[in-house]
Amino acid sequence: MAVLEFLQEILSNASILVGLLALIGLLVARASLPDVVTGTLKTIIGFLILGGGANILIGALDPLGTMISEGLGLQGVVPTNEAIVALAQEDFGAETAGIMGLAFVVNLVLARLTRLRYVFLTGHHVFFMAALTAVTIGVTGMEGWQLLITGALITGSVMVLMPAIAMPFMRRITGGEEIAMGHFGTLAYCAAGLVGSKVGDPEKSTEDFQVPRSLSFFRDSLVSTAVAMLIVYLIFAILAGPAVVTELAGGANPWVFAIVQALTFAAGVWIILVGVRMIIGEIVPAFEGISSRLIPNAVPALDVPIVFPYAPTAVIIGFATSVLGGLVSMIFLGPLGLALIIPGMVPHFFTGGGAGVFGNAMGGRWGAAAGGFVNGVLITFLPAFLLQYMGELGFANTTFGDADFAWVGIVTGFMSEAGPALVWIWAAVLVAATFVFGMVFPKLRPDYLTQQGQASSEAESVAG
Amino acid sequence: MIRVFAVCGMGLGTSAILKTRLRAALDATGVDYMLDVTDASAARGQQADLIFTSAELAEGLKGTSAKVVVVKNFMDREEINQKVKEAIEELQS
Repeated sequence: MAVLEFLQEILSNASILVGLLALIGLLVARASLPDVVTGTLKTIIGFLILGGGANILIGALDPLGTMISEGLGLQGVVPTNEAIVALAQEDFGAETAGIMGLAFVVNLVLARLTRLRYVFLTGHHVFFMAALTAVTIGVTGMEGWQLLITGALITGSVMVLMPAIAMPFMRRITGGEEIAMGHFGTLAYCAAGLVGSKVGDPEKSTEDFQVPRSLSFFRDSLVSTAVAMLIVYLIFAILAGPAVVTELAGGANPWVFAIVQALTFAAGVWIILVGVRMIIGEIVPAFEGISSRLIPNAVPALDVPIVFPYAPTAVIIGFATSVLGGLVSMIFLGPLGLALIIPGMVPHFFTGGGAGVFGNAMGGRWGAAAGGFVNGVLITFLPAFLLQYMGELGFANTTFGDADFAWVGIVTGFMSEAGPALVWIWAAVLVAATFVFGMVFPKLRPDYLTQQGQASSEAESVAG
Repeated sequence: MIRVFAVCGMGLGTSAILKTRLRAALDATGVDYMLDVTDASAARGQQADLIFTSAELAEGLKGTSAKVVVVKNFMDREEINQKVKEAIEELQS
């Protein structure tokens, strides 16, 4: 009995479960024994680091929330994926780990069976999407195997669908089909590409001119987070007034307090990142190893910076207009009765940059600018609507930042509120979409160009 | 034992892919190594012998004692194998 209880206890511990996931992955990928042991241990420790970082982050985020509510009478939210996922692990840790592991399997099965042969290799986004589905399904009371299976089907399907939908744009950017976009900001990238194609001229590329090197420090996420948070904390400290902030600081100097809390926020995010990195650093290589054996002709879907070298200037333009879009949208949030979404620099840099590259490929410099702006608007309004589907976590002063987390979360949360049957239907719809899209829209397939080449050469030989 | 970092902006997505390719390339050279993924800030604060990263981030890593190798295409196994081989030969000479 004691053994059984011990087993039960250990399997309901999220950190152990994530470690188990890495262990299975490493064993299936036939890693060497030392690699299996260190990989498993590092994954478990990474998960524990994640929790520690979350605590530090909340300590800094709570006073900001108070300053915003005292200053403006609004709930203030800084969308930061790492932060909300770390917070979600307390209640949904085991579910997240389970969904993540199963979602990799769903991705492999769909990539094998459908014509969308994409393998999603951005591990931290799979982790985040798994947490998002666990929360949006779990808050309405669904649990156990139903939660795991529906969450995994939803996560695994979007891991195939989103790279497919971005593929027509990716061909324009990279000039080939060797890599796909594997980042859950894709709804905004495609919107940026579409808007870009309407407003600009792809011939007038952003890459004809240079942007000052000094802006490249934003690539360093720790520095950009710190700088942005200093500005945010100081603005809201001023709006709340020194009296409120002094009380928060326990009588200490309010400005010093605001500065230290802003930097503590950056420190918290960074610690969480170290944790995520340790988890992902083991699981992704294992997943890639397995997928390359099972689906040799699969196309890897990779993190958004993979497109940055194709248009580095568009990245900076897209980032700037994305922040602008976020700031403009902020004005409308209060009057619409929504929470105040404060532009988080990490999501704006990476997704704004990606939107800039997509916009540039379809509509040149104006396309890049418009694309970034559209991204900024989307990642401000969508997270604001997402909050209501996240239960208690909706009051956490932070939430998911990127467009796909927001739209998947909103739809899943909406279905989940309507009942478990609808969650199953929604999961089935997404799975069906991977099959249908592959058949109906050949452009979404990874080998569209090569097939066309074959088709035309066949036609030629027939004609000849 | 040489210490190697794969560095990208967040130390999450791209560097994890780079890591799998670096591991294969390093194994092929037969050296004894330790390989980790990280972001630019962390890479600056730690001792390493070799850092593999993109052109944009290499700029900010110039002050470190490590040899910084720029990888153009993170997916290109041949480029990575070639650059790992060269870097290891240089370190050992």
